[in-house]
Amino acid sequence: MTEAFFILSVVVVTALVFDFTNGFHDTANAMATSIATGALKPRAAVTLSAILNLIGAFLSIEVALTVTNKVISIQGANGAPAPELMGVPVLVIIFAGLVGGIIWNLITWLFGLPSSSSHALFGGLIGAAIAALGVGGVKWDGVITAIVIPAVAAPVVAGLVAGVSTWIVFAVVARVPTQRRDAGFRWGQIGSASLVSLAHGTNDAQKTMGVITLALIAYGSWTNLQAIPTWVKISCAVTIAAGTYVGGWRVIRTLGKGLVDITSPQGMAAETASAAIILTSSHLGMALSTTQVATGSILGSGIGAHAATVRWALAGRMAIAWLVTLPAAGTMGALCWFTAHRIGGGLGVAVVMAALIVTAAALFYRSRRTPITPVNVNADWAGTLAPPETPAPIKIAA
Amino acid sequence: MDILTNALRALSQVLVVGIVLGVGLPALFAFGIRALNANRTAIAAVASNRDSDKPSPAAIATAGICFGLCLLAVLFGITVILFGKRMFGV
Repeated sequence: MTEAFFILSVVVVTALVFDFTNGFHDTANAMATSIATGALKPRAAVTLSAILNLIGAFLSIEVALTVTNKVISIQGANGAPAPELMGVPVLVIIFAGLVGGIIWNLITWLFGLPSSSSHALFGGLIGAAIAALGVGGVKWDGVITAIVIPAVAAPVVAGLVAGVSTWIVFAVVARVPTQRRDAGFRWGQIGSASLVSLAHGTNDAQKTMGVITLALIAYGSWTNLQAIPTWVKISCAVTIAAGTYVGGWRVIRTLGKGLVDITSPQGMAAETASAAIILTSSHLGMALSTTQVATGSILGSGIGAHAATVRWALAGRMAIAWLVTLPAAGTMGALCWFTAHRIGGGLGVAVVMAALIVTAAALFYRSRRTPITPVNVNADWAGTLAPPETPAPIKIAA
Repeated sequence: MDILTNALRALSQVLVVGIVLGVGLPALFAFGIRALNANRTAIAAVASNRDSDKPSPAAIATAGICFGLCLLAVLFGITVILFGKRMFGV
């Protein structure tokens, strides 16, 4: 086994690990509201979402080689790696970027904060590119148009649409008895959430497929810029579905129970707004992050409802996490690149991989102290992610 | 500055389509639910007997149209997910 092949193998595995974190981090975007209102049982929700992600990933017909090309310059205009970087240099940059993205995804998951997986990946890649190529290795125009403007716009647009929608829906069904109203809207919730899941499968699995294909081209075992190897497609689709099925219960709890107190009509309004905005934005040259749209929609559905609680302190923490995503993932991407590069070759990559495994294990171990599972994911929000150990005493109406 | 104006143009389009679909569809769905429950309003439920709980044929037809249109929109959404890039060429 040559050193380059070893590095390629590690890159492929790392990309799939990223794909997996992408899956479980984003389950909440589609399913948090349906789980919170009881439209779907927790396990049923993640299963449905996983199946739709799998279908979506298989049905995606685009070749997303250009996804990395938006923010860093390691590729030519056609998506092929720049000739002077062919081989190991590109592989190590991609590897370091992926590791930065994974670690940021795991940290935000531990805190139960929804955070865009694409932005985490972009951040990691930007950091690795700056470390490897200097400031000129980054396309700053792309950073502004693909990350900064969408990040500011997504929650505002989504919040506005979902807020107006919620307000109108409640006005229309004002005289319908609550129980019958909610029973009807639960069906609408399931439909709209399914649409978000399907869109997620096509969009997000493509990114990992593109990254792996780019690595294969850099290594020299794939030359077709217009197609993705079948095994890459299958492994990415299955991995993102598996991640979705595992379910990021911590993020689901924050979005479903923490941010606002959500009812079925709000849930449907929020998910429909998310689906409409995600689908239109990706076709109008302004791809908005699924996570940020979903979060904005849920927030908006809380603002649009009369007398619904909106926990602004939590929304503020999310906003801070979004601001920090790029520099944090970037710093980790840069650190990983320096480490791998200093030690050099296959050993350097192996050392960074080992560091990733240790970090991931530590974060997972930490999460076990306050586990969030399908059982307690819907517990009443008492100010913190972890619900109280014992169920709160039942209030008896006088 | 070019970047900013382009972004604002794209964003205003997203907002318009988002409002039309994101507000329109839940509202349509809500009208469907209202039609099905026209004689089950909070007040009517107390006064009425069980027979009058059944929605009238006209109400069922109204609800059918509302839910049918929502279903069509979902099918259109799936089409966009699958073939959008070819349909709109971005």
